[in-house]
Parts: sequence; structure tokens; C-alpha cells
Amino acid sequence: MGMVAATLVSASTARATTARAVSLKDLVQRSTRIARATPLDSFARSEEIGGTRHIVTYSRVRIDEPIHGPSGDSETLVRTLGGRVGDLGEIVHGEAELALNESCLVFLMLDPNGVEFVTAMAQGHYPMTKDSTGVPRLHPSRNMANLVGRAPSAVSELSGRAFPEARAMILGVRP
Amino acid sequence: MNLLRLLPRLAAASFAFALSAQASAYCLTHTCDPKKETCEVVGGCNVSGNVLFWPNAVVSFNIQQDGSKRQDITSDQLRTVVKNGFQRWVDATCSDGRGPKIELQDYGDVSCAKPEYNKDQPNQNVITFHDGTWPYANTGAETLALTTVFFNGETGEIYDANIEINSNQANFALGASQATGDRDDLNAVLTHELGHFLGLSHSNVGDATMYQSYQIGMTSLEQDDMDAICASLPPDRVPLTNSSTPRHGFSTECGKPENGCCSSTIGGKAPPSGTLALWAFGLGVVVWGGRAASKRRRP
Repeated sequence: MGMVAATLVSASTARATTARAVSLKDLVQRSTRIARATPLDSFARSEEIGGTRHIVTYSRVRIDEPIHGPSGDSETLVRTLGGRVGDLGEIVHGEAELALNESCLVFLMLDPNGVEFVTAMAQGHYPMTKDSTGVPRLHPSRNMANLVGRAPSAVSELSGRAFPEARAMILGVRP
Repeated sequence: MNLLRLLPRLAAASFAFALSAQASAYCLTHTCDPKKETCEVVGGCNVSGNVLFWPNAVVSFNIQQDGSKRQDITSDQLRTVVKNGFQRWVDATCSDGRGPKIELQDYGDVSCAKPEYNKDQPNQNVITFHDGTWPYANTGAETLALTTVFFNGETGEIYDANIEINSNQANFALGASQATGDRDDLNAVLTHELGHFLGLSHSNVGDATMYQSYQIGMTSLEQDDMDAICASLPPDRVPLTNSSTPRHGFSTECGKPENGCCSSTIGGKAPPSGTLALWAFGLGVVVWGGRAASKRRRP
């Protein structure tokens, strides 16, 4: 166990990367909405992002428990890069994958045009599964970018936590 | 056998299982899109649908001609880093002693700096810096580089791949010895991104180049990386084409706007808010998408 723990600590600190690890404080402060949520369905289309044509997916997401931000919405629409239009697929490595019907903790931000994105891509998305005692626990997003350490990062702080613990940590940053 | 005597054996067995599970923990990229369908996940990898693969025996790549003035890195310097990175993947040794079945061909500098795929026009697989605005609003200075892969959603055939480097907000060094403080090791970053370019996803093995984090100077491939590239591009595979030309031909310039793409509403604008409006918007897109699909012949 000690060896495993040492490996995990090492993996989350002394590394360089494609994306710098975002701290929990940064993640919380940059987000306009934080919630436990469940993607219900989605549709994809081509759009120009920064002058370049991409496939984007809009996921209709049920807000199961708002933690920060608007509290009256039961659903919202979240745009992520990549998806499939007809036979053409696009994958953007490092972007959050809001898997259908998979409960998650998600950090969202609103751009000036009113579109909601996942803050810091996959670093703002934590799928949850229930442990043997029925407590939902957070996992890193499956399409996580390779991270350069800025210990402690949000990913290292939140992964493995029970949802109530994670919620308390978030509220500790932004009550 | 009592429980006390059994426990160490169980622990040893668990450890052995953990090691064996780690021995092959790479993920290949699959066509299944978890955002729109249920995908099977095994060992943290999406394994539904078909594996993404390059149909070409030889894959071309291009360097954007401007390099990065902000980082004082020329296109030729970037080319050297890219070629070295590709060579590491090509030099991987598979279980039969041969290498993965892929060659890379440098098609030279291009003016196009867009990581997009043209359905009806010539293309290029470009590796480019972004000295100006980093185009993705939901990521800031934390994103150093991003790889985008376009593919046939049914077969997994890769059509196009591009790498963008965030030279606007991040700082890069060409060697590990210079990658200190806030300067990141471009060699290490690109070795990882080129793995994505070639069709790989992330690995769950901590020392692999395709792990979700890596060390400055980590440019050599680990066994897990070699297993991954050999599984993706086996030495005995039969490529669908010997041509290295990008799909629909090659051009140094970006394509023109295409029909059926992003001409009006959204391109950054929000769909209307409110549940009913969201659904109306979604329905509109579905109808629009259906019409576009009926006109589409070949992606």
C-alpha cells in the first residue's frame, strides 16, 4: 500500500506535460457553475471555433445538485470539442467526455456569448461511481490530458474522494 | 487453511494481478463516442467500436511555416523536434523484432495553421504554433498542446491529424536541460502528442510516454508505449494505400468554407437558454444535420 501511495504521490507531482495541472482553487474560481450532474443526451454539429472548423457536441445535462452558480436550472447545455456528425468523427485529446447517463462532478464556465464549457477541459470533469458502501466517488476524466504537476492539483485532490468530501472542499474555496 | 495464512497469498496474487494488468495498460482510440452512445470501458479504456488506424503506409506531415517568433523557434527547429519524435515511434520494437508498419514523410512548410479537415478539398496534417490568440475559450495557459484527429466514425480510418502548440500562453525549450521554471520541454510534449497523432490514447502505466503526466526529458518510449504502437500499427498489417497524400489531395493552404458548416448561428453564439428552447434548438440541429447528411456523399 505504501508503495502504491508513493507511486501516486510521485505521479501527481514531479511531472511535466501537455497541460499544466490546474489547482482546485483555480478550477473553482474560474468556474461559473459547479454541480453534480448527469448527461442525458447530446447532438453534434460543425462549428467554427477561433476561425477553425470543428465538430462540437452539445450535451443536455441534468443538474442533480448545484454547488456553485445558478441554482434554479434543472438542465443546461454544455459544449465540448469533438464528436460525430454523420460518418465523420473528431476527437480532441484532453477534452472532457460527458458520457451519457454517467453521474459526474462538473466545473463549467460561461463564455461571453453564453455558451457553457467544461473548465480546463478534462480537468473540470470527474465521473462518479458508487463504492461498496454506496458512496459516490470521483474519478479522473477518461480523456485526461497529460499533466505537468503543480502540486496539489485539482485532479490529485479530488480523484478518489467521496462526493460529499469534494463538495465540502469546493465550498471551502468558494462558499 | 486458515484466513491468516491465506491473506499473504491473496495479497501476493492481487499484487501480481495488478502488475499484469499494468503490463498492458495502454489505450487505443476507438470510434465509440461516449457522449452519444454507451461505450464499454475496460481498464479505464473505451473499447467499443473500431480502433482508429492510419490507412496509409506512409503518412505525411507538415510544419506551419511561421514557426514561433514569440518562442524564437523556427519552422526548421520545430521540424527537427517533430522528426525526432516520429522516429522514436517508428523505431519501436514489436514482439517479433520488427517495427510498427508506418513511415512518415515530411511534406514541407505550409501556410495553413488550422487544425481542420476538409471534406471536399485538399488537406494537410499540420503541426503549428499559436503565437496569437489561443482559440479555445475553456482552456487557458494550462494547455500546452492539443492534438485533433478526424476519422471515419464507422471504420476508424484516420483522415487527418493536427497538433496545435500554445506558444501564446506557454513557454517552450528545445531541450530538457533548458526546460526549467516555466519553460516546458517541447521534445517531451511532442513525443506524447505524436502518439495521439498516430492513433494512441492515454496509458495507465505511470512511466509510459502516453501516461497522463510525464517528466521533463521523457522522450524515450517505454515498453507500454511500444506495445501500444505495435498494436495500433502491427508490423504485418496491410495498409489500405501506399500513398502518403492526404485525403482529397494536398495543399499548403487552408480550405475554403464548406457547405453545411457553421455559417450562421453558433460559431461561438449561445443557443437560447431554457429547457424548451434548448430542445427546439436541438431538434433544429438534428433536422439540419439530417438534411446535410442526405446531401453528403463522402466524408
